Amino acid sequence: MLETGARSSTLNAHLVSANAYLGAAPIVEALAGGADVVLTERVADPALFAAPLIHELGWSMTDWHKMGQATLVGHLLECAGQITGGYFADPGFKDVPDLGRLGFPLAEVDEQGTVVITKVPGSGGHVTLATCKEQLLYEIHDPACYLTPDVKADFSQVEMTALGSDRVQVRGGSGRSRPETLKVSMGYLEGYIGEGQISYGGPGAVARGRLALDIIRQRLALLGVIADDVSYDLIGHDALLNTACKAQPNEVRMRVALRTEDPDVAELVGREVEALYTNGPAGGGGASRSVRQVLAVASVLLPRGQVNPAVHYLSV
Amino acid sequence: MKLCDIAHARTGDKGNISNISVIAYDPADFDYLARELDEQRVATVFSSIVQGTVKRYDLPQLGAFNFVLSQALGGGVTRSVALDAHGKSRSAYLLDLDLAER
Repeated sequence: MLETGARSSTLNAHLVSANAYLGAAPIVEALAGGADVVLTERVADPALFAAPLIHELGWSMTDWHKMGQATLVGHLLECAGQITGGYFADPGFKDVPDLGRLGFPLAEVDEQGTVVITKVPGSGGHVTLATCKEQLLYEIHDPACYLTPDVKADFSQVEMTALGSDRVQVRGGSGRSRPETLKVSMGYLEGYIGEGQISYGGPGAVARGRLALDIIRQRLALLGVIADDVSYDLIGHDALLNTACKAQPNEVRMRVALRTEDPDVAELVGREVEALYTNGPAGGGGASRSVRQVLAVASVLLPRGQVNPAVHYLSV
Repeated sequence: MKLCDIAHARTGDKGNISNISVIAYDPADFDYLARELDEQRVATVFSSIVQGTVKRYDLPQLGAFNFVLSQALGGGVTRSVALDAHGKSRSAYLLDLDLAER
């Protein structure tokens, strides 16, 4: 497994699913076969956009430069509104108009692979150099070697030019031969996450929140709780970066979350937090609790020859 | 001056790896930011939550950097007990960095 180096067979007893990320080829095959709508199993996100380009423009799937360009288009479009102003607005720094009517992106692509990113006129949001650059690097590691089932895409030389209102030209996508392996995501059950939260406000809110966390620590120790992982947070103070904020907030929400194999232990956490109403610091309010089963994901690489996609046609 | 005055940023996640892009509003600031934002500095900002390394990739023609933080998401998005399991709030903390006078 890529994450731990352990053998995937160690998960067998807990394994729920295993899905190889396929590329564009089966979608291209379906389009060539006349399909109006294509339903896929797990495919790499850019393949959803690369496939129609390959189909319509007649690009060879072993033309790695073209596959890099097609994957660039797919990568820019795959998160929809994230390139038209979604996941972007930062008032006073990066203002975005009319987010409640956010328009989704379009790409105009010619035979040479020149791309213009735009959106439907009159819709909300905007397409700018800044929105396009953020999306280009979104969930990318080495920009010169973005691994996909179709190509090792190279975005490192990409250039962008603003062409006017909501139009950005993107050039310079490329690529090298596709990887010999496909990534497989394996879903496996890894116990439960139990969580409890309660809020404190006004002067001393942080101190009372901290006291509440200390009480839960002590309670879990007294009860002999063993957890695989546990997080003690004051939301509004230290929950996101795990370092306390400088100002004293007017309210905080204490949160305890733990992962455990035992569903009863997961249930217990929230009950202990709820008991802080009567047994904890002054002024605790709005307690909540939850338990969810953990479907964790691990990845392995499979030689692509072991995966044989098939296309089936249905008429309705 | 803060980083947020001259650059914007976005966080993404894959498994137990977090990436944060930092993009200069004016690409002419690239060289200055390249000196200010070395891997060690970014690692220090996230030292409380990142157990692995920080690697920086440069895209000067876009005025952009991509920081890749390994072992950075509590063992992976799907199994993390963190409030923000995807680590998506991190870009904003990075933008709070103080920059030296030029």
